[in-house]
Amino acid sequence: MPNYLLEIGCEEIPARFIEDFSNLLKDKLMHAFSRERLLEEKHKGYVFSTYRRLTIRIEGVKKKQGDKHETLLGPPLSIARAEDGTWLPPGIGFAKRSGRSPDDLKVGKDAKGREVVMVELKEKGRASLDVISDCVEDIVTHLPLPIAMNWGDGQGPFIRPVHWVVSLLDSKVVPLILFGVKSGRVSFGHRFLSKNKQNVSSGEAISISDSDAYESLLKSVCVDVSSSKRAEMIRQVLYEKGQDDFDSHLLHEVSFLTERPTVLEGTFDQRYLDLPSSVLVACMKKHQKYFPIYKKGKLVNKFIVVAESVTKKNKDVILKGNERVLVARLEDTSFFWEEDLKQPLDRYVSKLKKVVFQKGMGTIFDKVKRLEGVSLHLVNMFKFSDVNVEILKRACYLSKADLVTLMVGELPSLQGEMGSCYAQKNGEPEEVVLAIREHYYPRSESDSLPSSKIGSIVGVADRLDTIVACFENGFIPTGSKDPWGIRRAMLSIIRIVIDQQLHVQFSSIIDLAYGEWGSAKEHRDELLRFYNQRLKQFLLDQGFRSDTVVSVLSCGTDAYYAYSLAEAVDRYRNSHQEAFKVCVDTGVRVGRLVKGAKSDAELNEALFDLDIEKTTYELLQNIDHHKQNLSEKCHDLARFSKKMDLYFDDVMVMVEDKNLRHNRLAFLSRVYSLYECFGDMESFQV
Amino acid sequence: MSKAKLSFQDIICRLHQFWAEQGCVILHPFDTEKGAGTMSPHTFLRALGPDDWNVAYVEPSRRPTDGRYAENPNRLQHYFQYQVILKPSPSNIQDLYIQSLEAIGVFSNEHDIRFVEDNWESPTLGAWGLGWEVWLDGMEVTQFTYFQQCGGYECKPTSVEITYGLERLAMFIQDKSSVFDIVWQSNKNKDVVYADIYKTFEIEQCHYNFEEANIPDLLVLFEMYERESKRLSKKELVYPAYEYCLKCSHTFNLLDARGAISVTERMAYILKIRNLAKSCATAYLKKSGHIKDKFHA
Repeated sequence: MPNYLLEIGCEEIPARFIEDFSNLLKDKLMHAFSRERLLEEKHKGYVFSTYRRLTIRIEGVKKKQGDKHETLLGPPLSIARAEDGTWLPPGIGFAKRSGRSPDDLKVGKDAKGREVVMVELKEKGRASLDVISDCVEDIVTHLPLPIAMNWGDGQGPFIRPVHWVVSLLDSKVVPLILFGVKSGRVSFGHRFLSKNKQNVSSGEAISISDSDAYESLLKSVCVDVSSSKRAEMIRQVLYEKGQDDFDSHLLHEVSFLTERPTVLEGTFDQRYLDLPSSVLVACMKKHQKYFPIYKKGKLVNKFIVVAESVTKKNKDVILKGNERVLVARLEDTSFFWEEDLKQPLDRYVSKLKKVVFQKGMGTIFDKVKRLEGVSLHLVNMFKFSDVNVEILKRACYLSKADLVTLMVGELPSLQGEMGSCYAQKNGEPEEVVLAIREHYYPRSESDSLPSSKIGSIVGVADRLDTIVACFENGFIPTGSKDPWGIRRAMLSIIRIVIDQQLHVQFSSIIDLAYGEWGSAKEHRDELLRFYNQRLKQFLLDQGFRSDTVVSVLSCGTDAYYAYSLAEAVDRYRNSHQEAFKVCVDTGVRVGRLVKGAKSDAELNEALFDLDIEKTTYELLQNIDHHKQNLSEKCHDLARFSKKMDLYFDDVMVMVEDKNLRHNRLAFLSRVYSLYECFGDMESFQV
Repeated sequence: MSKAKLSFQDIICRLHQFWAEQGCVILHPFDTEKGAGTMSPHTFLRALGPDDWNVAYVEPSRRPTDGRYAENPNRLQHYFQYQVILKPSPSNIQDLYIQSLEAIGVFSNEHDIRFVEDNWESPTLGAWGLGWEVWLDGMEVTQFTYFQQCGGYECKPTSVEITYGLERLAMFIQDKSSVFDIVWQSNKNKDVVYADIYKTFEIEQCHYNFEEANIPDLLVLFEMYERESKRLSKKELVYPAYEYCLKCSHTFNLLDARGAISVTERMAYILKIRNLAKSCATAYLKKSGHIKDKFHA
């Protein structure tokens, strides 16, 4: 079974999107090959990529494109052909659209047995070689580019200039031209580790004899084309050095900054360990892409650099160079640390008046004031009676001060972290120190949540404020555009509220933020819809059944309630399928009756006619509506539903007798409130 | 590794020689203050339009806010860039760059040289490009950019810009940990170092930038320069108009260093300068016949 190999050799491709981009290329190629009937039943696509090459190999390509045999169905015979056998406009039109003349039309039956006209399309498969050429050129030149550039005299656009193209079906070159470069079988080795000709640094030219030999041939010219193998090799060394809790994003990135990685360990002067460890780590990772080294959980004066182009001869020089760069950075950073500490953190707050929060929406200083306002309301809504309000105010006041420190100016990822370090140095209360750091948590999907109540409050208040600002200022997320990270902010609020087990309606906490803005609520409805979408997505991501999620979302905007309910309902459903079906069936029935017949009669026990009416009512009264445990509530509901099922067997609600009917509806509306707190019964699919 | 270490001036001479051999015109610094070599009209204007252009020059660059009163070994408010522009970008440009490093004694088999993504944008020039920062054993020594847009116009053909950080490279080559220790010239036993020439200059400029620059006067100057640039570009006197645009840019940088510009105003100033630059670009293209006067339609 032939294999196809495509290697696009480029100038250095940005590490951050090599993987996604080459996967996209693979998917598009596979799709096109399949559409063109080029794939055997058993086929597989592989990606090999480095910063200088995007390589796709497709196993299971046919030698010859499959023949095409297709029948196109047209209009019914009755309208397509006159009785005398001449073709009518619908028939003629169909033939034309199918690229045929009416003489080619045939008559047959469609799936439902009706007589229709049809066209049979038969096409002999072409040689794969020819089809692939067109296919690949079309796909590569129409790929959506994460970043597009032109070069030379009107070449491009592509992600980086293209220098060579290897395109092989087994051992045969599939001729094609990409960005003015003709395909062949010559690839290039490592830029500096393989042998170069005079004045050239593109690496040793190597002829790829066969698509299967690609990986091993490239290895012989010092290129490890498999990114997972590169990452694995680096991971192994990290493990050997006792580092098992490293930054996996960084590992991913450095594996795409190298074609033949060499892991080196460097050291720096012990005295820099006086800097906060978060600062040291940021210095190492952010600019230099080094891994910090920990011993027994503590940072030590060592680092790991994943270097490229290393030989026995240059190893020491490269390491020394890297050490020197790090020291220069740490020197700079020490300077910022010392400068920043010359003033207490609260002195920076007034400088926030000079920092714009969002165009037309005031400064960060204004934001801090609103944040305090919202926080003081939230502390009550969250019923955090043990929170010291003065400390909360202080945490709000200092929360953004570090944005104007030199350190955060240089290393923005340290926002919160630095404020916290400086606050601690200034002797601020421990809770303030913690809250400044934590109010940014979670900073990513995998990040931890604020551990403290104050951190949670400030974090929620900060995000509510940003969300309102964005919605009212026109930065509403659409598609992939979300410059202010509103989706993540919303998700963080949801996660914090659930984590802290807070029963609050989002609709009321967002109004607190609106209150501070004092502005018109032009986009409030849109904002609430957005919230609902985010909450829905969050619940789905937790693995709850989708109908459960839809149902619980009808209960209002209390995320913690929705989450707990979904959890209880799903757990109950999984173990009590039958009983749950009864709940839903009766719930739906009750709901329809209540909603269908508007009645506001008072319930009168004296009007109960049948015994089952009395016993059902008694059971209803015995159920504690205010029970907090949702799991028990599910069981209660099931017990009651069973009874209610019997009730419906015996009781006719919509009877002629008006008083009786109204009384029964009044009873049902009480029953309905029991179902209502489980969401919309109509949404469940049982 | 015991080759004689190149002095700062040797490095410049070698680069001049190398790029001259590649067919570049060797030019001299442009005599108006500017933040980067890109702002020289030899780059900004010449990157526009279809004509070939190959040039190399040293450009003194001023970044008033980066000054540290000569107390920081790595930061200066005035430093030197070595700038190369090749239009259209040749396909062997990376090879040429590596050779240029070898010309100043940095050999690719002795180091870890990498091209790491770094995209460049100048909001004041309405210009942006894609490319890399070049890492030399982890140290960023060069910016490498394919210009995509300049003065708001697409760059066709594409120019490639190589900007060497001369001080960084010299520190690397000479193994110095402070910019002020760079040997500028080595003459028999007596070295002239960077500090001998630029330390006092650096300190005094910092005093001026951060303390003495007269804010009200600078604000007036900005307006005057802006007015002048506008007036001149209307007359299609492109170079004088562009010089006044550069003066605006430098005045803005000084005001910024003095902390005289609030963040809200900042954007407005940047837009003003961008408009000037854009007008110059338009006038340049019109005058050279590459665009028609479409604005009268």
